[in-house]
Amino acid sequence: MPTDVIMPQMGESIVEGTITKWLKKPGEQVQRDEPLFEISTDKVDAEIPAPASGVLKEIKTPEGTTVQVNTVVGLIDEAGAATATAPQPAQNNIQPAPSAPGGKETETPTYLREAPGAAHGGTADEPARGMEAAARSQETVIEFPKGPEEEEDGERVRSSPLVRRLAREHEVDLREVTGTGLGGRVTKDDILRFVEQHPAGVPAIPLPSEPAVGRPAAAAAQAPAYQTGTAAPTMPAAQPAAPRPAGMADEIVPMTPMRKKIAERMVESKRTSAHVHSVYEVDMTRIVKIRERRKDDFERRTGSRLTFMPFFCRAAIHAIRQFPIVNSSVEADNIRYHRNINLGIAVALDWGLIVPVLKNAEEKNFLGLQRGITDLADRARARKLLPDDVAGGTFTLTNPGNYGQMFGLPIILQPQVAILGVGNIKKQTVVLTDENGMDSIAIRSICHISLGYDHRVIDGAIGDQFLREVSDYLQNWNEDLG
Amino acid sequence: MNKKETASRPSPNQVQDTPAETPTPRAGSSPSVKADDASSMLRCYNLPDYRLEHPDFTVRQTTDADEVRYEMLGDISAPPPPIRSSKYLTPDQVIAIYRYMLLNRAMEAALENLYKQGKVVGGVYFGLGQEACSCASAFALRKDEWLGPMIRNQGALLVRGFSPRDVMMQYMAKAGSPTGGKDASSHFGDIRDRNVVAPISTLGDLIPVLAGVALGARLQGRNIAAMTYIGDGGQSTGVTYEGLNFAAVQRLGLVLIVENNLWGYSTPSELQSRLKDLAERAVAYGIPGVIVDGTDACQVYDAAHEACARARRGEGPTLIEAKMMRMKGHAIHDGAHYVPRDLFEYWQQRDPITRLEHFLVNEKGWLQPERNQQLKAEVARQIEEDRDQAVASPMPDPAVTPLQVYCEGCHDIQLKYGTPPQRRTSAGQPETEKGSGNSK
Amino acid sequence: MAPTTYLEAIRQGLWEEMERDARVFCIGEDIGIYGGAFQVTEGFINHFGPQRVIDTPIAESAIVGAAFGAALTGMRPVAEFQFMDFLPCAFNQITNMVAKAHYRWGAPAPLVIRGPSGGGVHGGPFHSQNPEAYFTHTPGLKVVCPATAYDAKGLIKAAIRDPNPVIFFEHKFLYRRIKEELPPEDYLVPLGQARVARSGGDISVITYAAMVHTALEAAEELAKEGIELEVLDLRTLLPLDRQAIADTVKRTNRVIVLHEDVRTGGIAGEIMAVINEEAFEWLDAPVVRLTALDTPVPFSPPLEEHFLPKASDVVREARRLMAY
Repeated sequence: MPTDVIMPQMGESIVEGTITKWLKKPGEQVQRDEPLFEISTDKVDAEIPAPASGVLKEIKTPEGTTVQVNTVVGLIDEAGAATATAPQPAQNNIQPAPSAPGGKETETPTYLREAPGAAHGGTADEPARGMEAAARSQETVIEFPKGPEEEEDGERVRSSPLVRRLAREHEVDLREVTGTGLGGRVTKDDILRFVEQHPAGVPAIPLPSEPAVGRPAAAAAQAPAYQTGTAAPTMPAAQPAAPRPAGMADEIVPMTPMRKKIAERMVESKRTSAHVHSVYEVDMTRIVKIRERRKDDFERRTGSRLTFMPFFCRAAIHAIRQFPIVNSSVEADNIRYHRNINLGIAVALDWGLIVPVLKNAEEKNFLGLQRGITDLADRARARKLLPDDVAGGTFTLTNPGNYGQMFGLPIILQPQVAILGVGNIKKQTVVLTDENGMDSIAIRSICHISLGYDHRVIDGAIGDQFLREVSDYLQNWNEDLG
Repeated sequence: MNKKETASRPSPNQVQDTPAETPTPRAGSSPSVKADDASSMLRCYNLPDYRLEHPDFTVRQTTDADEVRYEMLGDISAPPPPIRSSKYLTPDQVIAIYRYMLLNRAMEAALENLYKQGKVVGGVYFGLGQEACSCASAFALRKDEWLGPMIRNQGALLVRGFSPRDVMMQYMAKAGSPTGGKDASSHFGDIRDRNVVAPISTLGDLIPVLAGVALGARLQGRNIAAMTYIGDGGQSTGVTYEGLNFAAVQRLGLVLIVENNLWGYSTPSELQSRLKDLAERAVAYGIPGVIVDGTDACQVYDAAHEACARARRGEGPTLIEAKMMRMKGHAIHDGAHYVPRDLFEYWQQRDPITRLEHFLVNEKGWLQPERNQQLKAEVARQIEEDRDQAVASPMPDPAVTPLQVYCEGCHDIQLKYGTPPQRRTSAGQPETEKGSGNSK
Repeated sequence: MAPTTYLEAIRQGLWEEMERDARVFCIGEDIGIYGGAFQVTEGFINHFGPQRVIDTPIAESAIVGAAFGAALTGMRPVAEFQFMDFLPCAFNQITNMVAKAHYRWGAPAPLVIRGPSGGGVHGGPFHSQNPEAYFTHTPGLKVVCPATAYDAKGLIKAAIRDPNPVIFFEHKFLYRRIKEELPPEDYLVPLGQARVARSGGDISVITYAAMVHTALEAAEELAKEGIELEVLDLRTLLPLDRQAIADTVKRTNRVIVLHEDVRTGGIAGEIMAVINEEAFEWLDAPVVRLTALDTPVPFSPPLEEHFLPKASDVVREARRLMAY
């Protein structure tokens, strides 16, 4: 195996050298340490000795050439070396030494040797703590938390590393937490309180893909109990109940994370807001008729089915404009009036509830709203919602009437201050008074809307007036459907 | 200024002593000042000068047409003098020193080759032309005394018991080097067996440390010699002064060898000090100073011997100025082109090994030519073996990098010389001493 | 037993070690017949003799170098610096010769360098410094800063028994101003361990030396408004007690790092980095540091007072932190 002849580094800052003269020709014998070639560098010129005895096999770098240090400039064949000795296995290779004394004839360096009589010096103090740890501190790995993608929501809410960790551990959506710190920051106390009191859940109800009119009464019996505002939420009808075989022990099923979340949030919301509910009766006949007339055409033209939801959304947006307090949040001693109206539309899923948010709903016309609602509902069922889709809501609509319920008393989705529930649209007999004061009985499509609102900031009068605005808007609908 | 060649070199500052205290000149000297000299207010000190020649030359900066360079002024035509026979060494001891010098040089030649073959990490520092100073001085120390070598005193390390392989492994940064690859070149030591203090890169810092070693020994009831070196360049540092002054005022047995090899990197000694003879600095510390020819092993040994004896008597430090020249550049990358060529020729004739060889073989006949050749062959063989072993040994494991910053029970720190004295007053019973001393 | 001052505690510790171990000796300027500039070694030379209480020339490099040399022969030197402001005179010996000896060539350096540091005494720029940061940055050294008389005694003893070089900063403001009853038995305080000087749930104040007392003073004030400080006295700066730092942060989630050393490059930065590494997810607020200004220590009392951190600064920052 030929030995490399290399360009040496003749000084710590030298990076290259020039071969000025070869003192041997290929084929010539050469002894180890015999001058073999001459070089010139920035600092010094030198004669370079051969690294081994043998025959100069090859000159790779001719005279006059400049090469980087450690470049192989030639080769020596060690066959037939004139001098004895010199087994030259490891040239300057970096070979890690085994921890026991390795290599031939190497001694353990002084400081690694065991002190004779190994008694540790009579020093009474303990070895310095953290010495080795400090010396190896470049290996300290800062653990980055792993969490599901939803956690990114928390980044948008001002908090702190501690709060984010607690949120992660307790699976809290920080948007649900009221922040009492500087600038509305969620503090440690805020989240601990939240966790302790079970944060408000998602009072979602199924968003009907079919109009709610004419739902069989049987479904009404399965109205989700949470709509009544009790503190014990039960599973919505969509959630399959575990069968209980007769005569066996009670079965314990752990909550899914979503269920846990809902449970916590429901209770937390009840504890946070001073819930009041007002109910209003709305005559939806006009809209029902418009819808009946227009739905096929609408669907054909726009590709979107025509449901009742966008009507209620438009009405809500109109009413919010008159009563912006309904689109606000409480922050310690302050009320934050949201500039945008981000409408949460509750969607019932087979596996739970979710409230995707239609952002900046005030900018959308009727068609935009319908499309947006449909898109959110579809994606919700297909599990394709993005974190952004469920964040930032300022007002929520829910549709308990889907199951035939007359009206519900929904729980506010924190940190909002109001939620509008839409009941069943049902034909009822009503008394109509004409302009002459004559009464008659008519059959009208009636819907009860209920506003759940936070009496901390919304008084009864406001709540009622808001509902009346919504009702008037619906009853006198004259918007273009787009 | 031309000085008369006398065996005793008075300092330029001459004081007329009071009549009651005529200075007693050393043997072979004559006072060089008359009582009514114009400079009669100056003190007179005697600095013994063992040299057999007193060349008078200086190096001066000069500007030619477009070049600033150094030139040598003076008369350096004299032939080299003979070796001055030692008052203390037996022939075998002289031969032993000679062998160390051969080993020293052969080791450095091998290191140069290894460096040029790319096997050495960093730089190589040579003591070429200074082997007599390193080896003969260290030879005067006892086994249980201490040495603090500088970068060019690798011969002294060999005398203290390290092998050429140790030095080579240091240069090659191997796992089995005395520092395990933690430091380079001669920056290693041994507190247990060879009593060598490892130097650091800054100059003069060994001086207070070796003074402290002598202090520690004295506290344990022993006056020892603690020997270290400094160059004409290094002696300019403040810590040199602090250390030597401390040793002087405390009368610690520091033997300081000032190796005046005329060049501190590229700076001639004329730019390091106004003094012609650095031994004159001894006056400033109030300690004995002596001048020797650093290329004459016997002179070096004698001066070191006497200084060690003085130290062991508790009389304090000695400053020995050894005059020679550094025959290579500062390190291997330095071609020393700034040294006037005629100086090289002058000092080449005074090569310490050549001189001692001539003395042993030709003059005294203590070393037969065949034995001389044998010695050289033995040295060559030892270097060869050590070199092969060093080259073949492994590099350190990166895993040891963070280890051993602190001593956490790895050492049993022992007293070197004996139990320190008990406390002075006896309020109550005298305490029995803690600390197990090893008298070595 | 009468209460012992901080200075007296150091003297006791040093005396006891010299009694116990004949290898221990003192070296420094004016420590012999004079008894030391602050009288720490008063009476020592009469009892232990001039061999073991050595007056040196004014040569800090030589003091450290000689101490190291003596340590190589097995002795246990305690080198006094008249003011720790003069440590830079021996900087090379300390950081290059002594600190690296064990790592490089296996030579332990069991020496202690001790002396007065710190301000608040109108000492001016060269007699009031807190130079610890020059040395916490040097692997191989240990750096100790006691805040109480109890710790001063236990730590000087432990430092002397430690086989590594220890730089022992005695806060001169505390020398005669604080005192406490000390137990009569031989006790040590381990190096590298912090101590909770006061427990509290709201904010951790991580500090050392004289500032421990400043923090305690602020704690009294804040307790009246229902803010409970926890004060962690680091005691040793190198090695830092990372575990104690992490633990206190985990208890309170809010931190003030307080020291008398100047701001930039002071050890507060290092402590904050440790908090980041060990307890980031326990922080409910940014870490606040309270330090001296980035200036030399001024001389005139109103200037020096402005320069140094005060209890009122701690109170102010604590209130701000609670409101975050």
